[in-house]
Amino acid sequence: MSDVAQLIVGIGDIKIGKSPVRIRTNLGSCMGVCLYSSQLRVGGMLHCLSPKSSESRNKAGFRAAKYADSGLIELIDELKRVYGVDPRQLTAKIFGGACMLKSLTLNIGHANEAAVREILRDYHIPILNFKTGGDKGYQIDFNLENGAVGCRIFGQETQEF
Amino acid sequence: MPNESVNRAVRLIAERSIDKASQSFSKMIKLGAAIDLKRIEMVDIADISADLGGVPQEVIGSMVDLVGDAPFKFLFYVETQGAFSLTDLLLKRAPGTTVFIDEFVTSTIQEIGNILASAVANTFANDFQIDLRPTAPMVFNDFAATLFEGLIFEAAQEDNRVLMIECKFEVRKLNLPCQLFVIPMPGSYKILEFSG
Repeated sequence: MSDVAQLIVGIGDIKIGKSPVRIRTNLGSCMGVCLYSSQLRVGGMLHCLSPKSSESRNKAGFRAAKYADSGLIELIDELKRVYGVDPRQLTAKIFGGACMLKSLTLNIGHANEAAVREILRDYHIPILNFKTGGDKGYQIDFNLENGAVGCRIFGQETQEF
Repeated sequence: MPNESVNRAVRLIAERSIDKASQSFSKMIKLGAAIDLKRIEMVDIADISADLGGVPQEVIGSMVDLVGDAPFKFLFYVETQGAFSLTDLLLKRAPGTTVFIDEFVTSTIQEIGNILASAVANTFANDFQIDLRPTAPMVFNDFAATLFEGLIFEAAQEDNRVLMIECKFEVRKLNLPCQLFVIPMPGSYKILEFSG
């Protein structure tokens, strides 16, 4: 495993790659969305912090990957552009959306999850598996060899999805 | 976005407040604590969070909102084992006595966060005449990267870059590294501009 390339996704960012790359991130209230094409063995991860981009689109420095709606579209477009992926080939696994700081994030975790599910539904991308909610952080590790995602919630053992 | 005047103000505040925080902390634990101001700079939210996301560190931390004229957010954390050592130290227990997270550990981290955040707030008030008050610290036991996400979450909604003050300090006798972050919230920049 030590010589497999690893990409780490930060807040409001997207990373794509092909097998045998692994893509990792840490999540709290943010959502991590893993899209995978098993035919081409390529995939990508979005780490978004807000559900909707509508109020921010016209602002200077707009970053699509911060938002579930615009971020997922950008991820899909990136996979199409770089690897020639047909969106109809894609499947999704989603993680995160915890309620971390009750006074701060006002359950934005739930709103993020709802927005992600809505966009995936619009694009007819099936959600094969998910682990969301709670009040602890997530570490996820997306294996582009086979599309499996290792997910460890703080204080628990790693589960494979 | 902060300009040169804001950056200058923040640097001044950071240097003075970290110095005071170090003194307060050393007094509290009755041991020397060396503080290293690692950075005061604008960082991209994706880059800085990816840096931390690569390290699966489990920590106990104290997050404080500094409210008032120029709101800031403050985060202090230490690795879980380190929190046990600090608890033993403060409660004058034999080293190795504390082995799991209980109310004593939580109170220790809460109190350390309170003391450090108060030192920062007092610097604002005394040296820069900016009214700032710490709220009650919230204590979290989680991945370091998750705590960090909580720290920058609000600021990241407004901007893709945040002005970050990062310190590392070490409790000398225990060889115990601790991390401290302070970030101004976007609405603070206008107030800070006149302090620089």
